[in-house]
Amino acid sequence: MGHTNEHTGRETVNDVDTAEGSIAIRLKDVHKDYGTQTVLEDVDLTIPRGKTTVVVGESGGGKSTLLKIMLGLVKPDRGQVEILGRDLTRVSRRELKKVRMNFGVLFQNVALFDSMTVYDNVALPLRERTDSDPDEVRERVEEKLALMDLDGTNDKFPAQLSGGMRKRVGLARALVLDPKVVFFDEPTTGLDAHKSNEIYRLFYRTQAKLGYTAVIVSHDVPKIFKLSDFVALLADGTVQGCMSPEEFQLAENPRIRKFVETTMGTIYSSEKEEAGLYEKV
Amino acid sequence: MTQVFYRIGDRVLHLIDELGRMGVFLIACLAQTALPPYKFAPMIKQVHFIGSRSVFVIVFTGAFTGMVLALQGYNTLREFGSEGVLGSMVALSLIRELGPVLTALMVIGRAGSAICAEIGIMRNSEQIDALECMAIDPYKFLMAPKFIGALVSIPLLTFMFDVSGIFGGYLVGCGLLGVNAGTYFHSMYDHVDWSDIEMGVVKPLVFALLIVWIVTAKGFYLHLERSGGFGAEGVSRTTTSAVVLASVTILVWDYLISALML
Repeated sequence: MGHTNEHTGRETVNDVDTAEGSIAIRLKDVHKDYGTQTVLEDVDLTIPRGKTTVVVGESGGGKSTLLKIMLGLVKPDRGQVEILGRDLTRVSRRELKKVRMNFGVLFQNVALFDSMTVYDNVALPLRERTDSDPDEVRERVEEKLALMDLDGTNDKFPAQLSGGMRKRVGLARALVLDPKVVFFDEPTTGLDAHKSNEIYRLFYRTQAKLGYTAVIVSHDVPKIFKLSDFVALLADGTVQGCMSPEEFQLAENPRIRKFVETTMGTIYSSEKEEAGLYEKV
Repeated sequence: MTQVFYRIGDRVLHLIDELGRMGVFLIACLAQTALPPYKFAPMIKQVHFIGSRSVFVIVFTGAFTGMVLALQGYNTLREFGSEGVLGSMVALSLIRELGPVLTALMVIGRAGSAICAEIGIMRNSEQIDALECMAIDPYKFLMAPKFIGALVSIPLLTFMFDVSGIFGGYLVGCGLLGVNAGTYFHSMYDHVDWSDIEMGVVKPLVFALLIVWIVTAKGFYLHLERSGGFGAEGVSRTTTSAVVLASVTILVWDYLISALML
C-alpha cells in the first residue's frame, strides 16, 4: 500500500500502516549489555514526528548502539523499540524490511559503494526496492543530486569526491525514496567548519521540503543545537532528559549541567545570565 | 584448574555459536539464490570474476600437473613394464582427485580470498548495514550472485584443469618419453568409466558450495571474530583464516566424498 508524501505530493513505496499521532519513535526500558558491560540501561526516549531530535553524549556512551537499535541492526536484551507504530523487537524479518522502507540513513563513514558511480549509488534503492522504470529512476536521482548541488557528478566514483561531496551523495541516497524518518550518524565528522555548514544547510533545505523526522547522533555541540527541536543526553547508559535546546542549556539535572559546562561552558553562563534578565523583565 | 575448564568451555561455546551462525547463513544464502527475482548481470559478473579470470592459472597449473604426473608415473610404470597404462593413470588421477582438489585450492587462493576481503571491507565500512537499512537483502544482493558464480565456474574450471592436465601428460609421455599416442589415449578409453566422471562432477560442485559458503560467511561475520575483526589487520586476519579453513575443509570433504563414492 503506498503513501503520498504530503510535502512532495509523490507516492512513496511505504507499505507500513504507520500509527496515527505525533510520535515517530518510542523507546521504552531498552537495555543492552555487551558481555559483562552494560551499554544501555532502561532507556526511555520519545521522538516526535516531523521534528529534529539530536542525541548527544560522550564518546563510548552508547549513542551508536542506540542508533543501531533504532535501525533494527542490533537487538536490545529487553525493552520496546516502537518505530512508526511497529515494535521492532517483535517483528519478523520481513516486517522489519517493510518498516525500514520508511528509513533513510546517513552513516558516519557514508557507506557508499566504492565500485559504483555516484548515480548508481543514489539509484540503488530505487532499482532494488521499486518497480520504477529507468526514466523515472533517472528523473528522481537527478532531482536529488540537484537538491544536493551535485549536478555533473553522475559518472564519478566515491573515491574521486571530497569528504563533503561524499556526505552529500550519502544524503541524496538517504532521501531518494522520500523516507519518513532519516537517521544521521555524526553527519559532520571529518569535515571542516565550511563543509559542516554546507551539510547543515542541506539538512535544513531537505527537511523543509520533505518534512521527515530527523534523528541526529552528533558530537558537534553547540552548533548542532541550532538544528534541533529536541536534545537528548545519553549518559551513564540512560537518557538523562529530552528537551528543547534552550531548556537543555538551563536544565538543573546535574548530568546535563555537567555536559553543558564541559562542552559549552561560556554559552551556558551567558544563557543563564540571559534567563535571569528575562525573569527580571 | 577452573580457568582451564572455563577456557575450554568458552571455546566450545564459541565454536557452537559460529557453526550455528554459519549454518543459518548458508540456509539464507541458498534460499535467496533459489528464490526469484533473478538478476543476471551480477551473476555474469561473478562468473567472469571467479571463472573467466581464473582460466589462465587453471590451465597453466593443470598442464604442469599432468606433465609431472606423466614424468613420475612413467618411471614407476616402466619398472613393471606397464608404460601402456600411463594415459589412464594420468586421466584417473586428474579426474578423480587432482583436478577437483587443485582447482578448488587455486580458486580459493585467487578468488576466495578476494571475495572474503571484499565482503569484510564492506562490513567494516558499514556498507552491509547500509544495505540492510535500505531494506535491501544482503543475501540476495551480495551473496546469491557469488553462489551462482562459484557453482557455475568451479565445475567448468575443473573440466579445463582435467583437459589441460591430460594434454600436459600427453606432451611429456608421448612427446618426450616415447609412449605411443594411440596407446596413451586408448588406455584412457579403456579404464576411465562413468563413475569416475561422476566423481569428477560431484566433487567440484560440493567444493564450490563449501568455498563460497566459507569465504562469504567469514567476511560477513568479520565483526563477530573473537580476535577482533576491525581495521585492515582484522580483514587480513579473517581472510587468512577463511583461506586456511576453506582449504582444509576441501581436503576433508575430498576424503569423505571419495569414501562414499568408491
